[in-house]
Amino acid sequence: MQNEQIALTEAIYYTLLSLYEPLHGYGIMQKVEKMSKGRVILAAGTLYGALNNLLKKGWIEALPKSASNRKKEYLITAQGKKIVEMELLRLQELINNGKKIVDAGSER
Amino acid sequence: MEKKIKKLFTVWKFAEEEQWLNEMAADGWELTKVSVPNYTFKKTAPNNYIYRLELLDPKLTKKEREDYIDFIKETGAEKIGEFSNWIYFRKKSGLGPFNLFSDLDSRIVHLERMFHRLLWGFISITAVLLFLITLTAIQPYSIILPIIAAVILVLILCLFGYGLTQINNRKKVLEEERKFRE
Repeated sequence: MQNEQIALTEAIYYTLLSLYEPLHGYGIMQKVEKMSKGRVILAAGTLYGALNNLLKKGWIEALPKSASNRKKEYLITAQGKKIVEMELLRLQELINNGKKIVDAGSER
Repeated sequence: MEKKIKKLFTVWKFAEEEQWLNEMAADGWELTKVSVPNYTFKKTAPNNYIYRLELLDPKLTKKEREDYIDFIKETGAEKIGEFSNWIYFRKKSGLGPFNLFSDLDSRIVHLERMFHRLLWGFISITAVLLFLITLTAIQPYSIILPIIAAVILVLILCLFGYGLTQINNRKKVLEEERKFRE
């Protein structure tokens, strides 16, 4: 697991981010759309597949249904948070290297 | 006003079927009932609904299937019909865009599902025909029957082969794109 270098897909990355607070499926779709200012719109079928895969990996958990809420809600796990943090480092590296080269090129 | 149309779409023409339903909706004909090959439309205001079709994974249990359909419904869509594992969804266009898939991976998986379905259909039909050919061939007085069966078999082979190639080509286009982007 430690050495496994993974680039998360945009759908997975944003789904994980949105689940730092409990949300149901439609809530995730709305939150991701808002976070990305309408750029990333998750389709229901794709999101469902992503949620199931995340559950299987143990990166998120399904919360027990309560009387007040009949829609299934999800929440990120400690393991999921670790994955997000690793992804942030990876993205930071991409940005830093990109900036270094592009900025140097524009100064020439 | 109601209108019934008989139309048959093969598995590999699913995108065309979806497009046709959306064009009908754009003209103010909303699909209300489907029992392949019969489509029932109702006259309404144009562009009322967006239609989407999905072939579900045949390995899903009944519970998983219901769970998935409920999930889609919670996003504001409704199920108006099904045909074997094909589900017909629609959503009021006023509620915003409606898609079932938003990345290449899930579209590729959907095409793979169609490919397998067609392949299994092909294998079962071929098995039945081969059985019939051997059955008729061992009867000495009949030469016509096995020939007819063989001709049908060849025709079916061509049709399915064509269909499988069509699905595979669409999949290849997506996979090529997948090398560069999500």
